[in-house]
Amino acid sequence: MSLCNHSDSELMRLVKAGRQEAFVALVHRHQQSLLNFFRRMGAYTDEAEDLAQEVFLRLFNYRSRYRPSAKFTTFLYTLARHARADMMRISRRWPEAGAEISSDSAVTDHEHVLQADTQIDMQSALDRLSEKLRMVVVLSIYQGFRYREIAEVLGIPLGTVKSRMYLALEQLREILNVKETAG
Amino acid sequence: MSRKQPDNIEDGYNCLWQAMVPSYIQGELSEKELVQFEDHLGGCSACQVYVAEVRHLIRQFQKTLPGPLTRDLVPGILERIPQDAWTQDTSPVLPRRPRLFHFTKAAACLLLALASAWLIFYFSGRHERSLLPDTERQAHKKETVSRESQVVAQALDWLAKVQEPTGAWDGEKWGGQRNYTVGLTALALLSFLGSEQVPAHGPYSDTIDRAVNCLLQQQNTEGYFGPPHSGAMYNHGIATVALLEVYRLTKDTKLKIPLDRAVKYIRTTQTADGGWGYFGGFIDSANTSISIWQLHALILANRVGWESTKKNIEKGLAWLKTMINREGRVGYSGPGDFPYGSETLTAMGAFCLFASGYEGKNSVEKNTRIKRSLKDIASKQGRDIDYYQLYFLTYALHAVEEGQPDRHMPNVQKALVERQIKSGPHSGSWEPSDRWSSAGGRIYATTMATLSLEADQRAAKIIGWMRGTY
Repeated sequence: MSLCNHSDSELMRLVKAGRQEAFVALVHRHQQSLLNFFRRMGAYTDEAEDLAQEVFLRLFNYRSRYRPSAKFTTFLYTLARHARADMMRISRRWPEAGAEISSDSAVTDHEHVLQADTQIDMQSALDRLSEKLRMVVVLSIYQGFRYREIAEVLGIPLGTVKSRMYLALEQLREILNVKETAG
Repeated sequence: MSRKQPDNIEDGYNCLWQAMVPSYIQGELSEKELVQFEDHLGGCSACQVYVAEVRHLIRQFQKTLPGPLTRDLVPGILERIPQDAWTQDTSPVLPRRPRLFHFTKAAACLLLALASAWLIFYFSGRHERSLLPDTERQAHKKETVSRESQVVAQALDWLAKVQEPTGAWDGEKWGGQRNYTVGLTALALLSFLGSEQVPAHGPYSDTIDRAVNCLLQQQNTEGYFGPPHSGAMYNHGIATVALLEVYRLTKDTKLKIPLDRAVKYIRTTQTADGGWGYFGGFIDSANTSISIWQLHALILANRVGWESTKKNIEKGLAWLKTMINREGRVGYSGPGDFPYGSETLTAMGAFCLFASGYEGKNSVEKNTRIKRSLKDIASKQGRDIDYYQLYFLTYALHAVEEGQPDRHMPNVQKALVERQIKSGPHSGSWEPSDRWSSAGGRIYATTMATLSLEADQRAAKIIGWMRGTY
């Protein structure tokens, strides 16, 4: 039977048993999604691919810590969050978007927002959110995580996910000047 | 379409309930919260506007795609795992290799790929075929058709292989979003019906049967298929189309009641203008993208006995007609509204208008402009395939030309055939590489490509069915 039909947790069980092809199947299944995650979190394509690679290596190294009772993608994206945080600490290449947004008047200055080009690129708008808010948006809107799963990945209460999502969308709405253009 | 302004918009923007809007749109409210919120929403026009704005915003973000992988990560990862680590429970964290290593390897792969492509081209003799006389060209056409059949067969094999035990095709597992699993399952089901597979017969009868049952299980109490989220109407429209097609083939009575409820849901969510919007009408503005799937479903339903749909269809088609601009292009929510380009929407609109026979209510001049636009879109198809656009373009051209394929399309189909993955675990599928792939992933890319390649056999039947002549 093809490994494609196996669930993630079944594949992880096989990985623990030393089955390389199960690990390969997991990588193929999730590599594009992980790349998308890192790209949307602000990494360049090559950096995103390096990070995705790093996450899969950690997945292999931590394979014994995975419990089938936990959802695999929650486990994988927890590793992804840590890998990204580590790389940011090492390279400090990516700007701390949160610092930008708090000192930039773009979000708080309503007049400025109204003058902003409504055609601002979606990724640029996302880049202007703080790290915390952007993470919630990316996991929810792009990666399709439920709020409780995001809470698990980020290690925060469910209510905090909800409030961050609201704040993030409020800021994006202002940045993109969505008012009167929805439809 | 312009949106009606609420009466209390000034006060409403400070409404405390607005903090619940993202949770509401994303289906994250508890049952109790949902009841309370919808009760509030019914009386708060400012919150209604806010819901529409946030939904629009989320939709905008969902339509952006960062881009596909430039390399398969597997070789690089396996290289960094020592062989003996596979027999251990844990292994040490491995040092990172310098980027130069990746660059060298990528360059080598690129050279190898270019050399392989040249060899394939040289030995396939394609460069000589344009010089062949008519009889030999006909033979080559037969060969191409046969090749397309093989490609479709390989695609169906891959799809059958990755079907979940539940009967679904999991969007998330294959690079898309889980919210679209229902729509993707329906697209896969349609792919298997391309050759008129009847669930009780044929090599994929079990695959089809499980897909049908899976979709039926996804219908909720309101009548729509799939989870409540911003793209719910896509899931619902596509699932209804697929199940109607199964019903047409089988007349299976177990489908009657679910389809009855599904059709009713589409009818009741039609906006006052005649179109459909995201997540069941309510306060949404209608848009072409959502509306086409609902209209398609209603037209099919009408032809197999749901005669009550007639007025909804006429209203929907009349609305669609208002979306056409002077150049014969179809807009998103108005005749000049092209937030994501006009090509896909024009192909969708033309398919619905011409396949339904409604083009007869247009002026000849208007129809000519639509046809010209379609031809223009076909002529601009390149190697960067937009699967969704290609699917509708292929069927629209069949509807417009009544079986005479556009001269540009064979080249596009050839490019599609060539892009099918020929080996490895994804053999038979297509790379999720276009702008909509972030939503649908590999299942979307493969089903859309398959349905496009099946058009020569499938389009005439579907269009005939929609016109009531088949």
